[in-house]
Amino acid sequence: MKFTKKNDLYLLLVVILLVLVMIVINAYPKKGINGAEVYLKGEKILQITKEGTYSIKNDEGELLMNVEYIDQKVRVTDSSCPLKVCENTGWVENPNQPIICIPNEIIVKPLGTEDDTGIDIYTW
Amino acid sequence: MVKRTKTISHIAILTALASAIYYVESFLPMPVSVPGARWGFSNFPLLLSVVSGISVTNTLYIALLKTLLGSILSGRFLSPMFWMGLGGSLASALSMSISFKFTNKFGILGISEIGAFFSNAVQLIIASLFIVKSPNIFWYFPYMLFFGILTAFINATIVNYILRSVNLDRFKS
Repeated sequence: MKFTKKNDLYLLLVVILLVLVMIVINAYPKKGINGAEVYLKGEKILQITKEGTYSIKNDEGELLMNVEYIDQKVRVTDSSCPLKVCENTGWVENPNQPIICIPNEIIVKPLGTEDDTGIDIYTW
Repeated sequence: MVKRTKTISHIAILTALASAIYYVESFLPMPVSVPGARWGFSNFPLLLSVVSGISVTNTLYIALLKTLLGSILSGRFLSPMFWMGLGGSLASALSMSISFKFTNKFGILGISEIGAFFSNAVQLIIASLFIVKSPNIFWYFPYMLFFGILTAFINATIVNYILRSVNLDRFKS
């Protein structure tokens, strides 16, 4: 069994190209946001339009996370999940980038100032 | 009978190795914040089992068992991350076996890359369909894919060194 064959390098090039193209597409709509929507398990539970800090609670009233929206940027602070991926995502000002917390099944989706174009790219 | 015993021991050893790595891996921090992503070093026993030529069913057993045992050990059993990991490792086992058995075009690195690609793709599909119920999670696909490439390279290197020093024909079923 050989470590690499010629096809492996082609495969690697194709995948790297795919990654670069998708990163460029992701970075394209760099506009400020004018609010955010919070989804819990696929259902919309909160619409954020004013600046401030919002607490997200589940049906039992347990605190899951705090969402901060200031200066056309949104971020998550104080999440109850173990790995804190959503906190480490930091400030988000790209309307296509959601903040996702897998353990709590929460999406914080920023709302763009323009029409939401490019969503078709993600559903393939 | 001897053959069967050999197969069982092969599965048991690789499963033990993979679930131990799965557990230890959960302590490693991820350098970027991608939801639900892990390093994925526990896929190297899968790759080893694919390239050492044991059957597709046995490879799928290893994939299933390592996710079950590893997630019970690390306390993620039946959590959303468990389902993503299960789908990912089954998909990578299947795609690696198919690319090894039915095409003779890829080396160890290529098979590893194919496994990483399908693992990441299926994980995100599962997450977007059942967990967060939104296609927006595909925003993170290129970043996961990038780490998949790195991990696949490391896994392939490990397997390459193992194949050089261990005579795996003795374990073949």
